[in-house]
Amino acid sequence: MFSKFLSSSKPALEKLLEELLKRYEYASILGTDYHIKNYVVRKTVTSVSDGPGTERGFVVRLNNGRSFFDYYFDSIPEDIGEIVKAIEGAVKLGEGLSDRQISPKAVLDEPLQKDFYRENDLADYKTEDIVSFLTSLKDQVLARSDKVKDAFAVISTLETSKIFLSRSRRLTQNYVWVNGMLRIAYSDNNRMVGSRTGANSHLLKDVFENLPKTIDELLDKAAHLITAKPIVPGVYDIITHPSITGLIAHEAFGHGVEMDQFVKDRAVAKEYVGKYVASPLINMHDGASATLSAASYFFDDDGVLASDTLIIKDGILQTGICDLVSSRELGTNPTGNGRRQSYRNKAYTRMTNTFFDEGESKVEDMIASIKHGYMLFETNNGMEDPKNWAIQCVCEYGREIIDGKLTDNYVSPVVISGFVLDLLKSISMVSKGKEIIGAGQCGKGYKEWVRVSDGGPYLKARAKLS
Amino acid sequence: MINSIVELLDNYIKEGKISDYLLNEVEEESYQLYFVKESLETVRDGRSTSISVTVYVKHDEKLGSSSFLLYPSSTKEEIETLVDEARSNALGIFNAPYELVKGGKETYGENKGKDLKKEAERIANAIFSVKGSDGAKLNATEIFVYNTRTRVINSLGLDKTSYTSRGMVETIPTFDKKEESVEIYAQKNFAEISDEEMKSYIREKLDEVEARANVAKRDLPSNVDVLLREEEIETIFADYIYMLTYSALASGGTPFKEGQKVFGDNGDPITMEMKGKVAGCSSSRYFDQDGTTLKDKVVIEKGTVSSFFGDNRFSQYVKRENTGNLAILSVNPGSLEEGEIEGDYLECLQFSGIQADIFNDYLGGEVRLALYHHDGKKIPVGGFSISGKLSELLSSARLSKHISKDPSYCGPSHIFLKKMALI
Repeated sequence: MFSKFLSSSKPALEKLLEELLKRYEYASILGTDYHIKNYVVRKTVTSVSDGPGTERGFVVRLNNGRSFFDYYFDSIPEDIGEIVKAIEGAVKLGEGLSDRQISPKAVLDEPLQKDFYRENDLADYKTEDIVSFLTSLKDQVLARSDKVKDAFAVISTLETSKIFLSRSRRLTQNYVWVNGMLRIAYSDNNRMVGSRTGANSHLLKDVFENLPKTIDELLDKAAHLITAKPIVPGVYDIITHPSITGLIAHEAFGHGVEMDQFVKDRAVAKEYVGKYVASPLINMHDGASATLSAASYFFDDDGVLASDTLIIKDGILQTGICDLVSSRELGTNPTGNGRRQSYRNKAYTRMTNTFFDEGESKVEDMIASIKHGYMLFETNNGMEDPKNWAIQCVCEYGREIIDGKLTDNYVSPVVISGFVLDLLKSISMVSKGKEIIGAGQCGKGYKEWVRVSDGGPYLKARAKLS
Repeated sequence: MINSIVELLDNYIKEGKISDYLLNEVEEESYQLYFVKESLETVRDGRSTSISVTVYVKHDEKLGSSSFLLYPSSTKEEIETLVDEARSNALGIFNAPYELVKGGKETYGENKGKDLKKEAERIANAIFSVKGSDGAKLNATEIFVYNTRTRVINSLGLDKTSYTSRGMVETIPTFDKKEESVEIYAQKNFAEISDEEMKSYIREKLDEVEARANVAKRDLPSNVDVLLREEEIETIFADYIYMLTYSALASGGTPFKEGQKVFGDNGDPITMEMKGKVAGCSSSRYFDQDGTTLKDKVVIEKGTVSSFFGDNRFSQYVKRENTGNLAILSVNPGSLEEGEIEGDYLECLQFSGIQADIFNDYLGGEVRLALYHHDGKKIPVGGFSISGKLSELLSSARLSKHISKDPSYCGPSHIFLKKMALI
């Protein structure tokens, strides 16, 4: 249900906008109401709490043909003049900074009025239903083996409401995303490992249905990881699970086509538009409307409608993704990728749902084609380098492939590193079917965290592993 | 606003609806400057307040609790509904009981705050006054400064307030050559920083990016001694710290116990202490989210686990002293003098990321920039990975005498690790 707080604030926001538009060529107001509810049942404690990121507030964006100005606040005084006065005081720049201002093109503000809503089932579940479900899962996991030393069962629901107002736009949206997770600490022979599985959807019903199905995988993985060895560093044929395929899409190429990096000349991809950057088997997308997952919304934090951007087509780089401010500096159109961690953070160009399209190969044929290599699973983390196109993707574990057969020889952790184009051009097989995993968070550098999803099919490639 | 919440919750206690409550209020104002290629793209200014409310209900010889957030815009009706919901949630939660922290009214720091706009402009002017050599420049510089008031109140009369200021600069030093352009990532957190300190930091980073521009393809040995900096030291020890919390101890999720030898004796003895407040570390605080006044605790002494640490709840669960939730890792300096290392070694300056995994006994990462010390020369190299067995590397590690600080770390500025595999 759309936020009552934002609905009740709208008349005051209209007044504020009216005042600001008397003073600035462009003015917009974004109102956000995020409610994250975390239900955590652990061996020792149970908790129900509002999670980090829960907040509500407003951010005003202003432009008068030079630098952009944001002013954020969390409550609206009866006298709107108080905020206007505070803004006017804050926008005055000191000596030395005025001369450094940019001169962007005029901000696009085409008329649109629409209310968006995605169905959810939060109201169908009471807190006691969720706690009871998680307690049962935790107990089942602990009962399966005395090697399980600790168990967590977690459900996190995020309900988002946003309102966007500008001279020509009146937009609202409301949607929900649910993440479920099981995690254990598993000990044997004086060694301890962690193992986790998850299920996510826009419906709690799906998480209730799918999370219990992951218990066998959770325990089986732990039992293998406890015997995992470090990989012998080298260059290998690899097959990536969709989780790692997604990590590669995100780290290898996604960050490199964020067009705020084009403005800064921080992305070498700018020079590769229209050129081969990957195997001709590769097609890659990013977009909040490209699929239904963790980063699916109807309009972005710039008030631009969500889209599905085809970034790579048949191995050739087509275009990047862009936020509003960068588009005004580059003279391009925004793609609905302007995102803020919160109303207290700046909007940057950010990825949403990033994935490779499926191909034609069967996974068993891909495995059979490898004499010696590894199948790589489960994202740990990754780091981008859009300027120099270095890549680092950390996988939780790999399984050795010997003579075309997938073995139970586990290695952990496994780090893919190298040069982005070498990796993407080495892709020689792409599987049928794809999976998008919607439990991720992405930072810009080491901050500005937003929820993202990524994924794709299984890929066969050649890469440096360590 | 907080007074009316306290009044409401006190009435709930009188009526027997709840047993206790805990409030955490954070009020923060910020000023931020965003530069692209030294031009000002965006200015941000703002303030926000939030109050986290935890409601406790003793029932069935257990303790239930539930938390929610309030804002200055929260209405009385909303607050009452949320308290009722939290009470209902707490009645369905059966945790082992524990007592809240006792205490009175205390205030830490001065309620002056900085003039954030002036502070941000001062820092910007200091940064851009530094000129690197031809080709070196700053790209995408972002400056953040904050004044924060934190207050913790509970139903046992505890009421603690602290005032702090902090800042952060993120910048991307870049070096353009004819054929290519390279960059590095730099982030500096601080509680206080002078113009000279900021200029010195920027100069150092501009020199580093110039070194990256001069990285040469070069055959390196397959095994190499490595010198890492404090960012990596903090990452290496992070898992150890988590495993030494009362929370991990209570759940059985730690492989460690008191008296256990964790690091061998072939290098400098490793002594680690968790601290609440260290001058120059911007994560310093006077008390934690429960209102516990923080007590420093040595957790590893000369390679052996000496103690665990942790917050009020878990300290009662494991029947140990409540140290509070300590955020700063302090590592004792070692014996390694600057210039002491003889022979060839790699001085790593920038990683894509470094992974330290206690469970898999692994340390490794991709090196974007390092100086290869060879025959008395420093040769810029990069684009390779290093890895090794974590326990073996730390058991023979040398720690520098020189110390450095970042938001959550105070200790040796360098660690010297022997024979890491290079690919």
